[in-house]
Amino acid sequence: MALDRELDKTKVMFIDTCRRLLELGELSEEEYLGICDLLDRLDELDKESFEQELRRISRGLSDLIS
Amino acid sequence: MNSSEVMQDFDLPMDLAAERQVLGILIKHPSQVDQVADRLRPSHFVDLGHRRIYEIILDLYHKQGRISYSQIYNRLVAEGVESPAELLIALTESFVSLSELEPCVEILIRQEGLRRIIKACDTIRAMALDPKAEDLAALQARAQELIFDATQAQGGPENEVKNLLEVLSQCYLNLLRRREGQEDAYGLSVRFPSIDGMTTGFKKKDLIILAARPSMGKTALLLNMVTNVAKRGIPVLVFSLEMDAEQLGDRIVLSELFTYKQDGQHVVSAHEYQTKLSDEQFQLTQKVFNDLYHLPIAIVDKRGLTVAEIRAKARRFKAENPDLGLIVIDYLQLIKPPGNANRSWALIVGEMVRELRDLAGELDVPLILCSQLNRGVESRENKRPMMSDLRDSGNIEEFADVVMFLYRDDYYYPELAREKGTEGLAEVIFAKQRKGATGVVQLRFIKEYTRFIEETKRQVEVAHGAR
Repeated sequence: MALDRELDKTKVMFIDTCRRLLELGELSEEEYLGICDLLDRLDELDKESFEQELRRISRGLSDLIS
Repeated sequence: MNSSEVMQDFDLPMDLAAERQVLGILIKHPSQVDQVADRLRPSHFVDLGHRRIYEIILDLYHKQGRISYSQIYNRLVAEGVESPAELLIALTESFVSLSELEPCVEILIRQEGLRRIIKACDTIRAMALDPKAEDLAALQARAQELIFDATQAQGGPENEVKNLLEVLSQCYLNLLRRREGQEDAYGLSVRFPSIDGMTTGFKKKDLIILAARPSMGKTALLLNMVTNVAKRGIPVLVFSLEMDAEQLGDRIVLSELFTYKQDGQHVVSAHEYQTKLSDEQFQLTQKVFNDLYHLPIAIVDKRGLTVAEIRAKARRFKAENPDLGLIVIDYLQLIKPPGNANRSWALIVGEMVRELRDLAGELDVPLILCSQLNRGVESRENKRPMMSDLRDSGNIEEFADVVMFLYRDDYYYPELAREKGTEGLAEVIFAKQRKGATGVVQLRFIKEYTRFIEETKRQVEVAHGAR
């Protein structure tokens, strides 16, 4: 359960960071919304699928994370 | 909006931790929104940020959208909420398990109930201290309303949805009680068999209109029904806006004196009652008083009451007398309308009638409301009242469950009635009855004693034969 809560906390922090990148012009609106959608479906994806989807949505962000 | 802004002051009952727990659980387990949506309102959350988040959750829920941290975060950003991430992170850390939801919801409901009571008390205090305050009776009525509204159960639809099994079980119980004689008919009997036959008893929560032209006998019939009900030990509350309590008392005594005339005993006429009685007549009248003293009839004879004041007094009486079985009001046109009467008279009257119907529902009793009819009937050859005559007096008909008109031929044609032998013959015209048939029943009016009695069929035939 603690892990679950940490994950939710991480999601919120991640969205917040992406929002700031959007405001700085580092992400487009489309990329940002794609990321939000991806995070909402996180439970349905394994690590590999997540990285694949993220790369598809935003190459730049994917490179930044990896 | 500052995300951690809290309404009013910190002395109010509140539990911010419980608010966070509820919101955290609902976002993590959106299926639980079903369990709380009909009980929890945004006002249950004191923190404005929490309140806004709950509103968003409800909005997403009703639009069948996805409830997630990202959805809520984006909505908060769009509304310009500062530090939405900080607000939401606090929610992620707020709870441990799903089982915390129900206790926390109960806490929020309780705290909100306490806040409403405190707010009502603050308002009442301010009203009482205001040098420009209204008169005391109006102030008391307003205070009662505020407290009543604050203490009304705020239960949601879960208390209102009943399955058919539950409903039919209650109907079956009622049927058994009637079969075993534990209940009078289906509703409240007024011990006029012809009226009871039409209505099967006046039903709880029903608004019954008794309308007629002035001096037709509305008050007499009303008091006869009141006395008949009270004789069975059922408390009755009478609002008399025209006659004072002593006048009503005298009418009740006079009406009962007729019983002795019917029994062939020594008579006390209305004139004698109002002037001077012999010793024997005095003893008889004393007996009537002794029989009547214990009747559970309460009378409010204050003039110029508003509906709010009537409601306040009725609620207080019901609280002190849970067995209250009937409320009667004589009569509608003497009820003081609200101060801000910028609408048509018909609408004002309609609203007053609707509020009285709601009062009957709230107190779970039948409420008989007398109403005068305007002169429109007099322009017709057949002067029997119709529904259109009631409409001329205002929007009354639509809120009534039963509409009864009272009519006597001898009111308009006394000599003709005397010749035909129909003097005193009265018609109670059931022009509307939601739960029963419409039609006409006949009574006989003994004017001198302000008493209505049953008109037997034989007497009707004799009367008709005499024409």
